[in-house]
Amino acid sequence: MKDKRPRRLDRWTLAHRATAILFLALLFLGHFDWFPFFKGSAAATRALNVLAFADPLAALEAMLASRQVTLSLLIAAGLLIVLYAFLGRAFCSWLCPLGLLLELNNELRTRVNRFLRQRKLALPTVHLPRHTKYALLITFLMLSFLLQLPVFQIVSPINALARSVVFGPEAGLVLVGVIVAAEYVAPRAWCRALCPLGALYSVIGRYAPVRVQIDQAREQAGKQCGLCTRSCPMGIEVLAEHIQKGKAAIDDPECTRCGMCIDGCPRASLHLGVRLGLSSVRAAHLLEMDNSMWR
Amino acid sequence: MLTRRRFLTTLALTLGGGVGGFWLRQDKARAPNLLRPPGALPENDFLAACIRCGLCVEACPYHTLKLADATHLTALGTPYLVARVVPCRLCQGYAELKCIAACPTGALRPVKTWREIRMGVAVINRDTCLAWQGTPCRACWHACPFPNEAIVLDERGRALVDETKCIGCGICENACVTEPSSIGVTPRQ
Repeated sequence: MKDKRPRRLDRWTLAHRATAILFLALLFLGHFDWFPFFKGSAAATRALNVLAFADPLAALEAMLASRQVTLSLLIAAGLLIVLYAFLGRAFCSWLCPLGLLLELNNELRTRVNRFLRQRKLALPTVHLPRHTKYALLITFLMLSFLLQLPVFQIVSPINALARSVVFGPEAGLVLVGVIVAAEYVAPRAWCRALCPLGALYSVIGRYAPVRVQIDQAREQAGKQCGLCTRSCPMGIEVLAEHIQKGKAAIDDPECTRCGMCIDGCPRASLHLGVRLGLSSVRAAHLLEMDNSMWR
Repeated sequence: MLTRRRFLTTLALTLGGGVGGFWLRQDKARAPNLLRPPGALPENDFLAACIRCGLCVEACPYHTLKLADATHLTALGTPYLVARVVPCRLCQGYAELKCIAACPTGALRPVKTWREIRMGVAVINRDTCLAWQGTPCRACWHACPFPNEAIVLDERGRALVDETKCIGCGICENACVTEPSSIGVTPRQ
């Protein structure tokens, strides 16, 4: 089926990809002495030679592994925890180098799949359960404590990719390659189902006020075409909770605020906005449901 | 609720974590003795505290530090130096030791003076050292940041290392005129 709607500029898609590329470019430049403004890799960065940011998972693992609380690390991670408590899992689409790579990889997969479908073939599709990453997170935290090593920081393909860009290719790229290849069979499986860092950011951003908001009037004037759900890289059924429970925002902790559903919506029913607390079921919607029961 | 799927996930992770963890513990026991940057915690504490971000490597003005690759997984991404190639120049001419200032984790701990640094200790190979073989040479003594303290010359002009004073910067190892170097830094544990 060919998409008939006129091509619009996918603003949010472009914006988050450009930001992720910029982040990677800054990390790359940071390797040179003449660029003192931004240094580091995925696990920790330092801006303007003063302000340090540490990956909350790296900080947690290091403190569990060394079995002591380090104040400087706590502050460096705390800054990001506060940021992502506000923005939700935004790291995954707006900054993560692996997220960027896998998103572009998935574009390629879509095209490969389209090419195959024309020849009556298809890639097999495996879906891993989303909660696996929480189990992985707990596993890595326990291993870190027991082995006295920040285990995920050692094996992390995110670190490996970032360090490879900054310091030159390293062995961890093999794992990145394996994930890239595996995602042709299990689309976006790493970010959706496996990444412990994504799991931690989901937890940190559970009550993040920045969320995709649903414009109810416009949504109801539309046809519930489902293009938002189709465009979501995390596989969220974007409008499900809105339709079932009348929620006015996407409360799913997996949402990376990438905005691709906003770009995908032909009626502009979605926008990124700020709302405190999880969106509750709307009274008006309840009333409507109540009415419909009598019909 | 313990569904079949959840049970299998838990089983797979427990087994995977167990095997992987055991393997990593073996790897840690076999990990090479790398010469760590100044201020580094004792090796086991260092491996626990370092988050492998590479900020110290980028901060080093002499490009002394390198990141370990995956010859040993435990050490992957941790900073080390090869003194014979580039020793730790102790950030002479700078107000602080740049790697320590850059470290966000405390894996590299601040030192008040150079004398507090304990990276390793220099060991002289008397079989190849020119002075010990009778040819006058005091290249290491000349290069040492603490001459007559960390490296002293005996009455016959032969170099001796005072283990209580040597900080392990490796400048002597770098300066030695024989090939391979007749003085080498052994990392402290």
